[in-house]
Amino acid sequence: MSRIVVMDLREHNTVLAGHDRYFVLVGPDGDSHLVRDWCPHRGGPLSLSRLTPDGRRLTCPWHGTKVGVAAVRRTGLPMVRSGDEAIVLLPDTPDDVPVTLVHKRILANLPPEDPDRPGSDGPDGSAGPAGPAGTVEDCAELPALPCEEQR
Amino acid sequence: MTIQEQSLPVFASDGEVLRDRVASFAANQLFGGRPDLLHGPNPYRRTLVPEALAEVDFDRPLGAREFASSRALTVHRILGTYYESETVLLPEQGLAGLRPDFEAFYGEELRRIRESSLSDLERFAFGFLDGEVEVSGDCTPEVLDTYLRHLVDEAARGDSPALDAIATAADRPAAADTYLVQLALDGLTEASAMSRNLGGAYGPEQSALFKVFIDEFGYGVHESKHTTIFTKMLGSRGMASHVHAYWNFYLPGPIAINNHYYLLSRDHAKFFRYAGAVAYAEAVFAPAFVKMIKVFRDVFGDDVDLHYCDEHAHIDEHHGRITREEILLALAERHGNHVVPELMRGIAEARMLGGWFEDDTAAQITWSDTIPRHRELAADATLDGPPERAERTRGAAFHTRNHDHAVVLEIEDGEAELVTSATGTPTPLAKGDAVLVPAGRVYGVRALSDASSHLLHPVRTSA
Repeated sequence: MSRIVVMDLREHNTVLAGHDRYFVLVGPDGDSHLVRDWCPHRGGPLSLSRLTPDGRRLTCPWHGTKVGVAAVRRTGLPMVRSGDEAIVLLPDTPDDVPVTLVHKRILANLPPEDPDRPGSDGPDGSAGPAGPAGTVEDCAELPALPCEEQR
Repeated sequence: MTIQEQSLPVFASDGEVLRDRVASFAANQLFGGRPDLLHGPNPYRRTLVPEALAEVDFDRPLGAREFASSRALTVHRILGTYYESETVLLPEQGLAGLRPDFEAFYGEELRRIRESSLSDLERFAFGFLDGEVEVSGDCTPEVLDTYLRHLVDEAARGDSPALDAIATAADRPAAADTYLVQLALDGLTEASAMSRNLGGAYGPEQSALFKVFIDEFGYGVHESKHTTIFTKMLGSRGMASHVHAYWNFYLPGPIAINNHYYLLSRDHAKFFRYAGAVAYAEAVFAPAFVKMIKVFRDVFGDDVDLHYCDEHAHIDEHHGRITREEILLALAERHGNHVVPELMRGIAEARMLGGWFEDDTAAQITWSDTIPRHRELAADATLDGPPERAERTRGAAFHTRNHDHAVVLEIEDGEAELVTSATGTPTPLAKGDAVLVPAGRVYGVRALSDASSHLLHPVRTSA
């Protein structure tokens, strides 16, 4: 049985449910998804990732892993947004699990990184000086394994 | 993969073209209005206030926050007329004498205008829904059911601002009548939008919807038809019960929700949204009518026929179950998870527009009930900018309107009366009298002297 959480999006953009964390990822058209704040590589905070210049992937701040935005969206929890209100359905979350709504800075919702800025990816989306990284489009669908191992 | 409507431009034509077509429609002699507050028993004539169209910016579609705006009132009146032109309306007294109006209303001239502008007018009025309501994530039938149950529980627990406004009004009968007037828009043509979903072939869910429909239509017994028992409720209050006697007093929020069901029923690409909307509506109706019965009984005692409300309080328990189990969840199971977001979107839209009905009706009841207080507020208001001037002559066509921002209405010359409800006593106003008209509130001014004029002063509001 799902558990219902009602968010005022003017005040909150993150849901803490027990040990899990979800954040509101906003797309270029303003479409919003409540996605798990967890990189499928080693569990890094995707909310602090940045969009690649092509806007199609997020670069995890921990190891520079590239995760496809579409794949991240597919991990989204069911959410119905009406204006500034969002009704979220948390699956398999017992009533005794604490749920908290907070507001965080979501770097993943910032415009794509500037490819000309030092430390950013090149315009082709290849890894920049930030370090070696796996480039994974769909590993978020298979979160049990580190991304590189899947590939 | 989920079903998504094809992304379309806001308009196939530009705003100017849409305005011209809509203006041509509204300029027909059917829609010019009559001197009476109520419309006579002629379903083809309703006041569309053609001059109000000049103020409508058709390049900028309606937004979600302006459901009670002047543009919304003007446009939803026209859109509702478009939709009802696709239903069969015949006067109870017979067509004799009204044949020319019948032929004009359904005739080729107006039909061609409608056909050339209906889709654009829908996009103008409801296009905001694409951005305002959004469903995301992994939506399954279980999620759908949990979501619906949550909202139904919310509605059952929650207050009704409109019914609360009746209960606390000084003139409770007039307040309750204002509520009944808003119900009349749908009640006098009940389930007409639903009927558009009966055709085609979509399996057991089609038959389930038909079960609901035959209840609405009284199993073919006219005396049992919901519209018939609704007219008896109006009759017990001494109110008119023909289509659409109270046209001038329908508020934009209630008109919008009525139009929304036509929107979802006309375009079958929106069928799953319709199924969600009707499941939500039927599920929340039963407890809503229980509350309504209590309030109306408190106001009117035994002097009102509440069979209509009793019928809904009972039958909508069944309709809520049927639409949830045999339509909503059955569609999700049969057609797969990819239709669930559309079903949930329909639920969310119905809930949002239901809120408009409540808020708009409550605000109108409260304002209409406190006109003396709003005369005092007019004296204290800070005026902002030059006024708009309007003239009335005795016996001229009566119409109602509203404003996007608060105004002070001041009688400049002559004597007039301010009409804010269908059955309440109008407020007589003499030269120099003024009333604060809050944003969104619907009113009409009728000259009591041979001629009158009034000024509409914009009011400076605190930021």
